[in-house]
Amino acid sequence: MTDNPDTARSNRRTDGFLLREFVRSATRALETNQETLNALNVFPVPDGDTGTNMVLTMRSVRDELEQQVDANPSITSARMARASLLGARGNSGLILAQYFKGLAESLADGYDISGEGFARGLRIASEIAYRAVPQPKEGTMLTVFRECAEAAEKAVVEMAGLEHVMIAAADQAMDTVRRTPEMLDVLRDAGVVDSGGFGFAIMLQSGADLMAGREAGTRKIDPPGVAAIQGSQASGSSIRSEFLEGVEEKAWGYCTVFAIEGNDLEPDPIRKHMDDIGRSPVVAGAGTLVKVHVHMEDPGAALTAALQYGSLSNIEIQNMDEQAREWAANRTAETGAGASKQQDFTTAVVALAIGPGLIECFETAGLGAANVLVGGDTMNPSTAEIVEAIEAAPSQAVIVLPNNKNIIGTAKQAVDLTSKTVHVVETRSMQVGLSALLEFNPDKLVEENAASMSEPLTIVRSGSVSKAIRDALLDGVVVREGQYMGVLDEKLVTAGDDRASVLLEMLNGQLDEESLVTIYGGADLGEESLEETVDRLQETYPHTEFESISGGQPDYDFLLSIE
Amino acid sequence: MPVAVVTDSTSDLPAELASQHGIHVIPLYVHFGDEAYQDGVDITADDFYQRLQSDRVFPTTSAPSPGAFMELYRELAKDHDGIISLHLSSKVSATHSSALQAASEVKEEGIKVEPIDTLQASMALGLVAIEVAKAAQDGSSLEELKVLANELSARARFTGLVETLEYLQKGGRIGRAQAMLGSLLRIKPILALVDGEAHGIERARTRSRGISRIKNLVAEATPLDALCVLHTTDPELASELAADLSEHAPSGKPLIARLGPVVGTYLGPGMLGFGMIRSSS
Repeated sequence: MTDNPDTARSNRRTDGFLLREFVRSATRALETNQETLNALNVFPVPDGDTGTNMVLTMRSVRDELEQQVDANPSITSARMARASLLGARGNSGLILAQYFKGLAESLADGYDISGEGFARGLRIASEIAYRAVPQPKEGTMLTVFRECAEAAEKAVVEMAGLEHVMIAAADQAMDTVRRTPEMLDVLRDAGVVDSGGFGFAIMLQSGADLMAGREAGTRKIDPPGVAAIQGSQASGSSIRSEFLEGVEEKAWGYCTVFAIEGNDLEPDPIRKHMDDIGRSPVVAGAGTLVKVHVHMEDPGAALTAALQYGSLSNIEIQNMDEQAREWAANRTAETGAGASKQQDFTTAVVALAIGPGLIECFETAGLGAANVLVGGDTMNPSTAEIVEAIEAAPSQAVIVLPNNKNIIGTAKQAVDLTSKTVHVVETRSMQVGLSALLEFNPDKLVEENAASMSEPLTIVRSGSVSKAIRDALLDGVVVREGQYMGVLDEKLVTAGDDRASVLLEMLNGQLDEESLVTIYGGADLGEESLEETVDRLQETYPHTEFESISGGQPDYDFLLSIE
Repeated sequence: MPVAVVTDSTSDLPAELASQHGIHVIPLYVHFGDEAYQDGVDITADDFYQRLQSDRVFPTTSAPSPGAFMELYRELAKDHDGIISLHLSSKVSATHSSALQAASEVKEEGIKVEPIDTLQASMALGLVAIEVAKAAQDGSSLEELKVLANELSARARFTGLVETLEYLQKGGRIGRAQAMLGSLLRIKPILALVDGEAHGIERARTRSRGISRIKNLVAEATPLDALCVLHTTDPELASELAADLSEHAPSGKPLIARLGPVVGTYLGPGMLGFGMIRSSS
């Protein structure tokens, strides 16, 4: 074992254990630079945080290898590929999973990790990743993969060993990242480099450091070519992100999730109790409601133990052992745990949503057949979480509504990881997702539902008003930190100091007499100011029908749809 | 002597069509508090919808009494061989059971009546009555008409886009359309009678989208033996819809009818829909 790099440089193992070293240091490096990566957003909103997504994806790979590592790199790299796929969050996590898939392919028949094997892995990863994206764009993680592969191959030709191939790749990665704003106008306008590519460069850099015998993963690295990027703002609900991180734990035994309702609940003693009887407990919340996620050999023991704290609800038990999964689902239905979700519909829905009001909208619009998974911009769910939600949905045929452009990829990945028939209707916003859900009929076949639910995708427009967390020039509009941005159809159309005025302005020229505009008020927006705003809109646009709903979503003062 | 054809006022059969086919229509009642009106007889649709929207009292409806049926059956028996009596779904009204009771009362007098529960409403029932009346004119026996009526009823559909479920709920006839009530978003539900009960079958965010959905529903059901466009308060929209659907009507021209007060009580102002009979496969 080569835990101490200083002594191990010359006789470093080049097998599965080295892969684990790489994974550990890459994860650490991403953690160290997580905030920097998060701040590299094109839109100055907490939107699909790349740093967080990459960290969570890598943690799931790391945790897999902490659990078990095989000296044979083909076995270990295959485990890494699978873990990254299950733990993938957001688009950057998905592309990262492609990288591990490529690595696993190139290491499939070797016993040694050579410079050549690493270079081949990068090449395969690059090809897979380009194919995985419908319209590949240069100036993204894809370019970084491709140019790294080229640099690594060149180093191989020059007879370099693994260490120098990695250094060549890492140097190239940083250089490519520096040039991403030249390739992609949105990056240039926003004054940032591609965050996913930069994250990958950081990972390679930590690998090169490791090979060179330096301390790996503890260095803060500035994005190349970017002056000073302001630290990102801490986002929304910390309880939830704590919860999500925990869910990343290696699947083992029965994944047991439930809520405890009681009085003066304290998370710490409950967490300790769960730790004593199970594995990897995550306990979030306090007071009258606490949510527990724990892996159990015997899920009943966790429920029995939890009863002493209060009454239980939302119980979901999932056998993480794939072969036993089906049996477990049947048993769950028989014993009544989660029985309310086991009603038979021809088609059910899994919808991603965030904000209490919006979650309720999805639940009621789902006609009892919708399983709503909490997730959105700043908390992209993992593929595994989406798979779990699909398994828990009350039908064998399931429609998934990702409701966020950064979740579409993970949702599509989930399709192949479940035995259920799954269609993803590619909704890019919650607003469009709700319109799609209103086309849903639980008594119809999944194919029919997928067709009718796809119709709003081209008809319904969505927009938002939110605060800029830094200065930016986007789509020809200048926005200053602290101003409100009006975004329509994913383009910045206006900015200003008053959120209601921004909303008013962005609708100018977009409405006709048949339009129905639905406004969802954010978490920080009082009921009153939502009503005042909608009254103002109605005065300005007297022929349009407005509907307002308190959505309670974080980060966005208003979400809106026009149909 | 031919068989007499009876239906009730919830068929929404336009008066001229009823008389043209010799169909006898027995009225249900609509009540505003203590005031009772005979459906289609002593309250006009315009007056009714005006009151439905402005009156503080929500109207209620009631079935014709067995006595009223007996009176009609006795009258018709004078110059008919038998009577087929086609009615509104027994799941939402007592009309059919009232007819059954009357039929058994007059049986002792040698009067043969076959009450039929069509499990339909409005012009889905009305269109069945027209077809049965045609067959009666052509000399079909009561037994043959009974088979025909049941077969036609199974192919009949009643569907409508409503502005709100409020009237259906207030009137206590919401059935399985209940599931659509909880939605936080304003929706325009599309209802249908399924197995005689109101079901919500589709939802639309806007009226224009709802109208295009109901057009699709008609197109999906083709070929048709009969089609009638229905409305409560929008004659112009109904004419437009009829023009748009003309290719699907066997005659090239769908009928247009207005919902009378009884069915209108539950579907409310702004309803737009259709009754139809699908062709037998």
